Amino acid sequence: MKNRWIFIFCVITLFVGERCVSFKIEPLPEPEKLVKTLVLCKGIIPDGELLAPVDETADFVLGDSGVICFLELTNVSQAMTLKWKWYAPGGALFKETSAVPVNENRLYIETVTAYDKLDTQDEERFAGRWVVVILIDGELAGRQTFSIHGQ
Amino acid sequence: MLSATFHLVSAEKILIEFKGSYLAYSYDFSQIYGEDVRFRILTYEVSCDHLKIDISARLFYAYGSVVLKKEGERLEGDEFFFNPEEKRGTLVSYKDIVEVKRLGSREGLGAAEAEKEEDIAFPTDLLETLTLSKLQSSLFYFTCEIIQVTEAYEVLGERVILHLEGLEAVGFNKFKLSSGLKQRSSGFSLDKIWFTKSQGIIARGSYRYRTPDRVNSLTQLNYEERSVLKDYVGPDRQVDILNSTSFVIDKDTNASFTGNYNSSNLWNASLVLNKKWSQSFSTNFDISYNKPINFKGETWFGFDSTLYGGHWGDLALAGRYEVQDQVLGSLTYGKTFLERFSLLLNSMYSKIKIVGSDDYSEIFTGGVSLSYDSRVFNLSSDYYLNHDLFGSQLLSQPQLRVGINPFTFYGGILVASVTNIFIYSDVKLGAEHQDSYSNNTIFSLSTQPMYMVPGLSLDMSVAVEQFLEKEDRNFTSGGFIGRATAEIRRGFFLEGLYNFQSRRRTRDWLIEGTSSQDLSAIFRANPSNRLNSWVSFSYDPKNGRWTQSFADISFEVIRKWKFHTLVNYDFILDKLNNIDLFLVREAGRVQLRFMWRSLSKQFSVELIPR
Repeated sequence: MKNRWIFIFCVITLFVGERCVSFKIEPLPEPEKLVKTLVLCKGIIPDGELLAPVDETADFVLGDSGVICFLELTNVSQAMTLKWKWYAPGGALFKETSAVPVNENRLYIETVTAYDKLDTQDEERFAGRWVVVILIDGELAGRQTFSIHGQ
Repeated sequence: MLSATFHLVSAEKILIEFKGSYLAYSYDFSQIYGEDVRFRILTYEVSCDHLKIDISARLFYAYGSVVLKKEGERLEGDEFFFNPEEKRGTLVSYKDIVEVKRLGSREGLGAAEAEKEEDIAFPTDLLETLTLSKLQSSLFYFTCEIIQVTEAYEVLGERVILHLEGLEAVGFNKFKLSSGLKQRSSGFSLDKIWFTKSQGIIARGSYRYRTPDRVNSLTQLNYEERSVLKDYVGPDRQVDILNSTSFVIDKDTNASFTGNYNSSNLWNASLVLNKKWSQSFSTNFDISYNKPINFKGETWFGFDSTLYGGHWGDLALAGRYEVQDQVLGSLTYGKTFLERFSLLLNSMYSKIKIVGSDDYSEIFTGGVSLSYDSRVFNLSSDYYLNHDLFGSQLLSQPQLRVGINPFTFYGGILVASVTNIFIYSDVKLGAEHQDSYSNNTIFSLSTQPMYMVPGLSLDMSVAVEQFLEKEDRNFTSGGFIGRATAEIRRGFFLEGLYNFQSRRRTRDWLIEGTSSQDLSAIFRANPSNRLNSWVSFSYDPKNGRWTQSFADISFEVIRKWKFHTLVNYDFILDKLNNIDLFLVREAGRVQLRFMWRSLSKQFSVELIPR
């Protein structure tokens, strides 16, 4: 009797499970040029062949040596360009880098690290909320907001 | 928790559907990341390079080559923040200036909503920290090409692959990825059917009834069948029914009902009516019935009112009556005047039946407190009265408290305070009369940490207490605590702690007492989030022996799996008192724990919602 109930339970489970579970679904390919890390920091140190951020923060004060926007990309196999655009409080473009070419030889690179630095001065006009955006091949790939506080 | 995840696919209406080349949903964080995504909102067909959604925070964000198309109109931008429920969005372009264009229903917005909408252009840090890498570090995440979000903010996926701790596990044709973050509007739900060796078969169901802005009712049924257990002593089954219902009668009146029935013959119910007469005056009326196991039930009627009188002070009045002639009443009045004076009056009357007899205890208590608080000192005078009408006992107890507020000197390094409390008690029991008094003086002096050399700091505190009373049982207590902390290297500390306590009793010429000492060494290591541990050893210098050792060690093993252990060793008994071992996986809204406890000698696995 007990075995019969177990058999019925298994049949129902397989019937329902077969409708839901599938072993034919193909895994999706991992996205390329993936932004793994995008942070603001006060310094950069070498980390093997790569770079690493130190003193990560989104709050700066007038008199800090500058604001660094650090980027870490993974799964890179195509040539591309990187660009940073810094927008001051009020929304005006303050600084724009040139398009920096990366992986022109089209090799597979597991991790790419790069950064740009905004040199701030001890002037009240720098105080407020800023936005920095990263463009990969001219298209927005990430953004960070940060504040510079008056002393 | 997981049983709720594997519900059948919901029949609720779809709020929005996303199609992409790669969509990932993290069960741990309830967040979505997408690549090359298309969706429809506000009659626009939208396409974008990337998509980020935080389901819990209701944040929707598309970015990179954002294009919104409809017949005769094409809009382009870099970012698109949108809210599918409120049918509105904000398109942002990063050109020479940041250009913002708002779309969707904005009419009739008040100032607060308009400000909130301004904020949408600069989302919280939540979206900036949402990355695919973060989602891929989840204990459970799913990948697929189509994701739907229902009106109840449940997430459904088609042709889904489950990733368990980063490994591809199993595929599903259509799957409910979330457990639903918003309660269903109305209807019956079978929440759980489970079997455990300790509780037997467990079934949990609930019924929710809701009418917008009027009635909200939830009934829960818990059933446990224990007859299937071997060697179980106790009732074969247990049923619990709980109901909680709230009604809104009008804008100033609402009512609530709670009821609980347990098959072990225990039940209670209460109905509360809340009436707000004005901004400063409100009253609760309530009726309740409580039937404890093996005792007669009690039916209470009661009310409590609160009046905030501004500069006239605040008054609270409460009264309760039980049909077996039990009574409770209280009155409280509080007022602050001349900025630094506070007055508090309270009185309470209770007449409660004594369990197992026909008699009642009858007690009246009252108190008045007047206090003054300045920057330098504080003064408080209290009077407390307790009149046991049944036992004909009257206790009156005035007390005076004077204290000097903690003050710093010697360049802010030293902090001192003095407090004195005098209590007089007068007890009348029938014709007998007794009085007593006591005085307690406490002096404390402590230092801020003093850095002797870089990486080495010292701090100490001394306290002395003198307790005098009428019966001449006088005590003098004193204590000293000194601590030295040295940072060996970044994140690694060695601490030494010396503690001396002395308690002396003086009576006429006789002095007797005892003292104790403790010397402890603590080693702490918390150089990063991956390691956070300490180990301590205690030594008794007075008796010249080691006493105890404790250890709390926690470190990350791999992929957010943390090993944690608590150990206690007793040197006096030469015995390992306790050792607990934990392997913990923090997974956003859940925590998975494997535990072994030496005291109970039990191994258990827990999945705890957070």
